[in-house]
Amino acid sequence: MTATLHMEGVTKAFPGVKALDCVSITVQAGEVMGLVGVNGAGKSTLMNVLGGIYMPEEGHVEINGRRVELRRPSDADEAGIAFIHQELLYFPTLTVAENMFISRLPAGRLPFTVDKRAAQNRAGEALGQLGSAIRPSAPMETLSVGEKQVVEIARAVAQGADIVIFDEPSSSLSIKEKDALFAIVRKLKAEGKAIIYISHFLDEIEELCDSYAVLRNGRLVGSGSVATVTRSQIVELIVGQAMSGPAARKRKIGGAPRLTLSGIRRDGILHGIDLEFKRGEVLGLWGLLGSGRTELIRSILGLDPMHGGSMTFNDDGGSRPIGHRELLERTAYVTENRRTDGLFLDEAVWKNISATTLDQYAAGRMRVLDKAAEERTAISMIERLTIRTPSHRARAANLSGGNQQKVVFAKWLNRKPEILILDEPTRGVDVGAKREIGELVESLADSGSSVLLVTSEIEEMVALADRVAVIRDGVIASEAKGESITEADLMAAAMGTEAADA
Amino acid sequence: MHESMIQAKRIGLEYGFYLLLLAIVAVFTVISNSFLTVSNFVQIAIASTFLLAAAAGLTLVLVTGEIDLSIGSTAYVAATIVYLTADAPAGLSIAAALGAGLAIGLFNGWIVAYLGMNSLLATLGLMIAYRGVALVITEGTVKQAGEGLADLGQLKLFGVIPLIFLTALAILLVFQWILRKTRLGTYWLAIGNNEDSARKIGVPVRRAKLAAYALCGISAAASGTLLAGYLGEITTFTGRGMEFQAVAAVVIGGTSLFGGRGSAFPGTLAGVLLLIIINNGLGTRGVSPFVYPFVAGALIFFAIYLDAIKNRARSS
Repeated sequence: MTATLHMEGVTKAFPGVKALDCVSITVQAGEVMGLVGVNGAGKSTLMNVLGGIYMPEEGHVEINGRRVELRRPSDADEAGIAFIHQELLYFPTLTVAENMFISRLPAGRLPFTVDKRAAQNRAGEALGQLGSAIRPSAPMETLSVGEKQVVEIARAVAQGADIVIFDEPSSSLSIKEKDALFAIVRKLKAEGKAIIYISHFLDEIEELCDSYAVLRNGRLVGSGSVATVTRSQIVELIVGQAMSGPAARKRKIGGAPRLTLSGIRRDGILHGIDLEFKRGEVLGLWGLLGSGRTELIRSILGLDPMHGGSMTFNDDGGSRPIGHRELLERTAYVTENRRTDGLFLDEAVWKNISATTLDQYAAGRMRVLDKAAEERTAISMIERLTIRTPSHRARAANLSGGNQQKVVFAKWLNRKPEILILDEPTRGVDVGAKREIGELVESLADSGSSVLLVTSEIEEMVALADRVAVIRDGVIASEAKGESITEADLMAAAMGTEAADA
Repeated sequence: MHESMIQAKRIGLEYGFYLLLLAIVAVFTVISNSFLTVSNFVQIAIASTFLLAAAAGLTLVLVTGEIDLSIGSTAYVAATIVYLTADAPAGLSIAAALGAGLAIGLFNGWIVAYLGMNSLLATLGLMIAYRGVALVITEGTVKQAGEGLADLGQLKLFGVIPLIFLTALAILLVFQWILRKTRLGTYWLAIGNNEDSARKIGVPVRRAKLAAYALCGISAAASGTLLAGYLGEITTFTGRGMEFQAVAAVVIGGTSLFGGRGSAFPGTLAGVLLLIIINNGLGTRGVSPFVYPFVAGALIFFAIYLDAIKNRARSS
């Protein structure tokens, strides 16, 4: 079976934002289309329309020229549309075959029973079609990440999907697994499937895709054949001309070095990272998902293994090697998962604020906490950071995302950290709070802290960072500072295009 | 080499305790003359029967990632039904007792699956409540079972194998069959692996859990009925503390407290036998009976620790 997919004039608005604005794309049978765009450009919304999760206000979807109504996920299943998600859904202790057919297990001869042999045969066939030798009777948990993904693809094929959508499928794969994935995508293409391949890696798009489509701010800003376009043209489409000018803000020049990393390695992920944190500077670490940016932070703080390299810390007295433990103690680390790692959601705001500095409030021989002092500090912090909360006694869970994030900041400010690491500090935060958090980051750097900023929002990086190190495939690919920090350059460096045709 | 080491470790974690069971049997055989005898094995079979029947159903509930602590009290309630129907034919008495177990199981399942209550706390509370119901019925005294049932309880096939043991074993094997061969069993395992994913992918999570609890209730009731039949009377000790022994036996048998993996046969059977044989072996050596709780406790601790290790290995 083959199918041609056409989306016509799809428009979808959310309160206050037009997520998709009259987007039309066509994918022929036997064609691989690369779908690119920055986070928030509308890729996910468009795919959710195909998945039956969102109903568009205008426009429609056609398969083989016939209109299909996608009102719920099962409609997408029936229409032969399958998704290969970045995060795989699977049951570790069940077999490969059971995982593939869990929702439609073939009936056995006796009532209520499952014909395991039939399920395994069908699983084996589907895997064989993809050229995979995974045993259908193997427990899922014994498979590698890449193999699990192959199982997911085989499930889609076995269910008769003609349209397969890959959502950043390569970000957690090794190079060898990536090659295997590409081979499978080509095989599906040869069988006449229509394929949409979402990726941030332009080299993948170039290697694998026939056509491309670029979304920006909910609009289709460019599409066509991959053969007729250069990488830098695509980068321009992704970023947009208007926004690539230098930011208005004056960039600071960092002071003396605080922490020097050299040759940081983690097997398979980081391949020798050199980086210097300076005093009074916001250092941006820019890279795509899977480039190693979060992994670098986790490795130097001792939260993940580090297989090589050294770390030097500079006191006022001079420089000396520093261990993970001490670095972690001297660092304020605002993680990207605010709700799970950053806050005690069920506790009061004031308790959250004093949580990192309880020693300051522990009085007397019995080390009893001075609750009044804790509350005073919290109240002044709430004022200073304009945290909008009914009272300092409110539960942290009741605050909005932006104000929760400010509580996390307050908690660390209290400790006057020498090094502040921010991983996606404004994720899920509204525009107003974003600006305030930005100002906070600035003032922290002004007061002498070394700030390391990781964000996947390019505007934020350009607006806040004084210096940007671009990480790609586990090495620092380039560094930019001052006026040379622009969205287009950062994007190009992260995707690895500057050598190709810049 | 590295791969084979991991493989060896996996096999060790998975099957290590069957070796332990064999080792214990071997040790008792050597140190006690009366251990490896037919009459002692009949004793072991009878002593295993009641725990076996109850643990079989509990295995299914644990596989879904939930727990049922009310099984001991359910067994007692079922036994009081045997007393209430003492004048009726044995078949009717058994049916009524199992029916009570089914009703209790459905209620437990409804509370956990449909009302979304935490199964540990909900069934802990119900454990106390059900025992209360049974005590009201028996007025806290020993009651007689029907004669027909008491005769069945003493029946031995070929004059050796106790019928009650075969019954418990049959229940266990049927449950294992449901777990491994039916759609429902696959659903249980899927739910125990990841309830959210199971729901998203279209597994009827609530109905499947309800079914697990229903079978668990029947299995607990069977345990109480078997005990009443064997003793010919219903004592107030029926099922007391059995929930903890059963949880221990199931977990020792390799079923995870975190759900998603386990088996009634051979897992839970071996877990029950291990606990009972240690008790029996220490007895035949004339060791003080007060040593047993310590040995059993240490074993349970070890089994749960092993489960945690396995679970860590799996999530990393």
